[in-house]
Amino acid sequence: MAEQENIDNFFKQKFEGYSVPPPEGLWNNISNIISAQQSNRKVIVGWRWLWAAAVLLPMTLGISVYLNNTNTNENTQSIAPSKTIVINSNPEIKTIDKNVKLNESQSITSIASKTKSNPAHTTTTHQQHNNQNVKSINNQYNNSQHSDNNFLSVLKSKSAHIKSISIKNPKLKTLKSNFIAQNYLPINKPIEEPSRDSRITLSGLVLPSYSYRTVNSQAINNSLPDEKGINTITGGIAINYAHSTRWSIETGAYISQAGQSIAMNMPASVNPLSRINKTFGAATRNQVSLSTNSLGAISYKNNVSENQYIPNSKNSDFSAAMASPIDFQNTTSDVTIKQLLSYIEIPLVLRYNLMQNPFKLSLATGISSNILTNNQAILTQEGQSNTIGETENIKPLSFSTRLGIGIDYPIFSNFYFHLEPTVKYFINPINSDNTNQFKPYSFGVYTGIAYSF
Amino acid sequence: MSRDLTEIILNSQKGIQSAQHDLFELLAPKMFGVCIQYTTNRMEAEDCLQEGFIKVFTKIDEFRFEGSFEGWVRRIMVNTTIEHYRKNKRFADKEDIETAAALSIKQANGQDNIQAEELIELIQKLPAQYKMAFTLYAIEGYSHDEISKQLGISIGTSKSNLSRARKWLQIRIPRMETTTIKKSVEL
Repeated sequence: MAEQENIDNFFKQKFEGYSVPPPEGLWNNISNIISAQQSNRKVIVGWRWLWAAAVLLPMTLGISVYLNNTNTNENTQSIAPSKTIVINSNPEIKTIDKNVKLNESQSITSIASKTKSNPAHTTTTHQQHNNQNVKSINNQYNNSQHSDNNFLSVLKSKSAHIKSISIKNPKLKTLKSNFIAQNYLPINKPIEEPSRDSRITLSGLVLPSYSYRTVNSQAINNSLPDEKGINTITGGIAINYAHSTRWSIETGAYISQAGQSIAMNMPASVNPLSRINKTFGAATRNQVSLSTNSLGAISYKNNVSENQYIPNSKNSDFSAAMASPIDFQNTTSDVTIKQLLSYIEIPLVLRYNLMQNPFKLSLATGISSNILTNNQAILTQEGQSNTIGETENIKPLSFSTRLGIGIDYPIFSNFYFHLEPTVKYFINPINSDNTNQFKPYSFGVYTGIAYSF
Repeated sequence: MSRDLTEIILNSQKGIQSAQHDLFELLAPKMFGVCIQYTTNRMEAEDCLQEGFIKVFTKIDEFRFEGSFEGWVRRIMVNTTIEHYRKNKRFADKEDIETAAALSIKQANGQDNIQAEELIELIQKLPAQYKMAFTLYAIEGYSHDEISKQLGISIGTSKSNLSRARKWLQIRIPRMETTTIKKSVEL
């Protein structure tokens, strides 16, 4: 046993500090692999960070807003009692007692008045005071619902009266100035100042995008028509106000679109509108609807008949259209109906700047009000498109969310080239009957020019 | 730990390649020696050295200066050779003690003059399962419990492999007497 252990020690001793020069070129291999790994890791970390930010940003904003509101209420409630000024104007005493609370914790500290007053009077409450102005201040300060701004305005408006009161005790003069100074500071707590330049940015933007929808309907799975997304275009202006170097708020007005298209492959000698009516079952003649249309029934205009369709006079020369109406009876070509909805979109967007140089990179998230302005069902056949009616039961107002990553590249002076890949999604179904719960979404890239004032 | 080494480690943690190169230059010879002890040939040892250093530079952020850096790197190297052994276990040398009986160290000048290179040559020929048990136990100071967990074997197998490794080595150093070994250890 001992001999065996000695073998162990023998080997251990012989191998102590044993070293062999590594083969040449090994470091180059290791170096290349590490460099590749590091660059890959940076990319992965970058993407993870962006995704995390995209998820966390809206949450953080929500929590921040909530906490700010909560803090405001708490501050109002805690500061209010500390601002009580009690002035004893009892003529017998002929002096002023003040009970001002000024310590850092805003707790109430009674300051013993070293005046000639009767001690009994130093504990008087504000109900005993006959100065109406001071009472007014007390009432306002003691109101827990009172806001800081109101407090300031009251303080300013009444300060003249306070000044007019003769303060004989020099300590009280100091207390008064401290009172004003210390109560101003927390209220006007310095906030992160934005850079002095480029507070407001105006942008003209265009958003070509692909728009489609989510639905909540089993019927769509057995759809007769082939529903597809459509290419839409959104355009408008945006105005951005920088609250700080990091945070900015943005609004504007856009004309945006949503909808879908329905492609129907028509067998020969089948009237497309009849086909549509048949699928609707007991539909009246002026209904062009598909039982499986996820957006909603299409009600068509009077100039659409079962066998012939006269192009919409708004979209083409009416007399020419009358001369050669499209005869569905004899057509064998495919038909596409596009259900297109146009909105005026008013967004409210919060933007967080991730970096400033060499270009601005920001995350944007927000909510938009979408006001319906136009509703068209456009039938396309044999290369000719005409409005045949509109989709029924569309809400006049809908709300959507958006999330994007903005890039502002400086071109010259205060002009920037703006690119913003964006996802938009409607929060609520846009059809008022909620049959299929049609919620449009879109992917696109805001592209345009921004100018910073 | 010297200030220079600390600085090199810190710079390596920042990903500065020149510092990483300095660390490699500083530790590679010793670590190559470690890898050679645990592998069956030089090529396998080179593979382990490369993999080990890649792990070192990948995980260097995890080093908290709470112990010897060289020890930390050595541990990574040993673990790398263990992983290598486990991956190639089924191809491991099945040579048993009897078939390897012909191998021995030529000791013309006595046991004291046996060089590490000769022992390395011998230990590399030791069947892999015996070699792992012996080097982990005798050189690294692992317990049988640790060895069994690292190699995925039972504690009994670990003890058995160690015993056979010792016997195998003793056969190949026939003139190595207990007294001589003791003397060598005392030196």
